[in-house]
Amino acid sequence: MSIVSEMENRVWSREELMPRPELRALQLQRLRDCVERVSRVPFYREALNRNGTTSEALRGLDDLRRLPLTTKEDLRRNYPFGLFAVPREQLVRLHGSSGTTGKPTIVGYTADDLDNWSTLCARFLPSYALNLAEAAAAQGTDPRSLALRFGHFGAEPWTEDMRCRIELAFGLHAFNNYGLSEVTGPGVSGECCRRNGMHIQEDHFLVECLDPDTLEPVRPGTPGELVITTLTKQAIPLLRYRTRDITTLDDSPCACGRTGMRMARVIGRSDDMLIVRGVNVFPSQIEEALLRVDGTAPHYQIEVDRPGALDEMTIRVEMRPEKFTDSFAALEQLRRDISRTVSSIAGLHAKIELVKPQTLERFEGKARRVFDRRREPGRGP
Amino acid sequence: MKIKQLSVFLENKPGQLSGPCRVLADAGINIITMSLADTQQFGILRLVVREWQKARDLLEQSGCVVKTTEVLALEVPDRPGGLADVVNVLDQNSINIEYMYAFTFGRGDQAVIVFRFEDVDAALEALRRSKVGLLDSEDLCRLSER
Ligand SMILES: [Zn+2]
Repeated sequence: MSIVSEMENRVWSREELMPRPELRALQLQRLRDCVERVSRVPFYREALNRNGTTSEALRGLDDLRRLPLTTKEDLRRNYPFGLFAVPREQLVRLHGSSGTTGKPTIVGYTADDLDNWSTLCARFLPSYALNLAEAAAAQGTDPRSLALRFGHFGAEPWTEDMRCRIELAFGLHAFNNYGLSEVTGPGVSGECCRRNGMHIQEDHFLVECLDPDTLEPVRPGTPGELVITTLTKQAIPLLRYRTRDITTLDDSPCACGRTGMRMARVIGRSDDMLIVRGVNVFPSQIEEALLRVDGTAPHYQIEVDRPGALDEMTIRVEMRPEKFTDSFAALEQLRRDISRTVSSIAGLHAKIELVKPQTLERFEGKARRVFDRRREPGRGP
Repeated sequence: MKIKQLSVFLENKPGQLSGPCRVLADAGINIITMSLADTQQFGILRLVVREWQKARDLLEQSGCVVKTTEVLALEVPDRPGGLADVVNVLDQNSINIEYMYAFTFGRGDQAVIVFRFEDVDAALEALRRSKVGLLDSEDLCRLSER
């Protein structure tokens, strides 16, 4: 066995293997401490008072739902120091993330936070670091200068196809990981050697998967918005932070032995979500379906309309010239395959229209793929 | 004996047919025969033209998806049972017909019909052994000029 695969299989701490009942007890205890800590933050103190919730009132993890949610907007509004639960002199590091919209968000760490953070990263960074180190060394680059940057791989939603291409291009295993700067940077979750989802570091983060519209928990295995409560953070503890990232959670046992729940790669942003006939649909699910049928994702558009009482979703797919064969049956088959795959991934029937290549609108940079006609004047409710 | 046919993918929207026809007309390319097959969702325009390479290139440049396929042009006696006799020959040789459509012209008392077969070479082989008349592209051009 090579050093690389040995390191990939290595479990870094006892908490990663903790039986779930024990883990849940630890989470509850840490959640109470966390609520205690956030009570020092005016924003949370007010919100908790409104809900009439105290740390003692938390009898079980189900009571988590009695706690207030936190949005990115809340973080912005309380900029710069309104969310710190510790005196400023205890802060050792500030990190400002310059978002593309609005004011920068400031994030602070105490010495304890930084310790925790390096522990979390150590649990799965070795697989990155070692792979990268080999690649970097071959090019005469100092691998130490790259290791942390590599963690940002998880920040963008990507498809399995992209992962394959990255692996081919760089000749290394690309392990997914997930984190966000408001919470901790990389380190919320990461893939093990089995690569079948990212294990959430549940001893430090309590996660929920909520319907972005109703804010109720989704059914297990259904995509929803990831909501994170930081259990151990000192400087800026967050209660039920809405990440806007859409994923699915899986708490079934993993062959690697880690007990931490796994999250799928992020399939989109809650802002992109469409509600069609009561079903939550994400453009990335349509892309995934097209990829699965065709091998490459063709250019496509999604249109949602409500011609009568019911929503209708139409997916226009540009025909690829090499797919056209002069056979009616083959074209019909292609439509049926797309339709069937869309319903199995998104749980919704869509009308599939094949269109000529290069005929769907393209926009500078990011393509505009979704047209929701229900919101147009004179239409819909 | 095999004849090149151009198949053009059409979206099911009004005016989709006029585009390809216009392209060919502007280039002075004569359409010898054509057929349009469509469902609610899409259509396939099938063309037999003089100068098929030029026609294909022009259509592709105009944004059409074009597939070149091989068909056979068969002479079918223009009388009751004429087509049945031809189809009989094909059946006896287990030749599958995908589709067929007629030319607007004939030769004497013979109608001319385009056949698209699953296996064009097997069809050609079987037809050569029978009495069914086959036309090549030169014959078609000549006939269409009359
Ligand atoms: Zn695992």
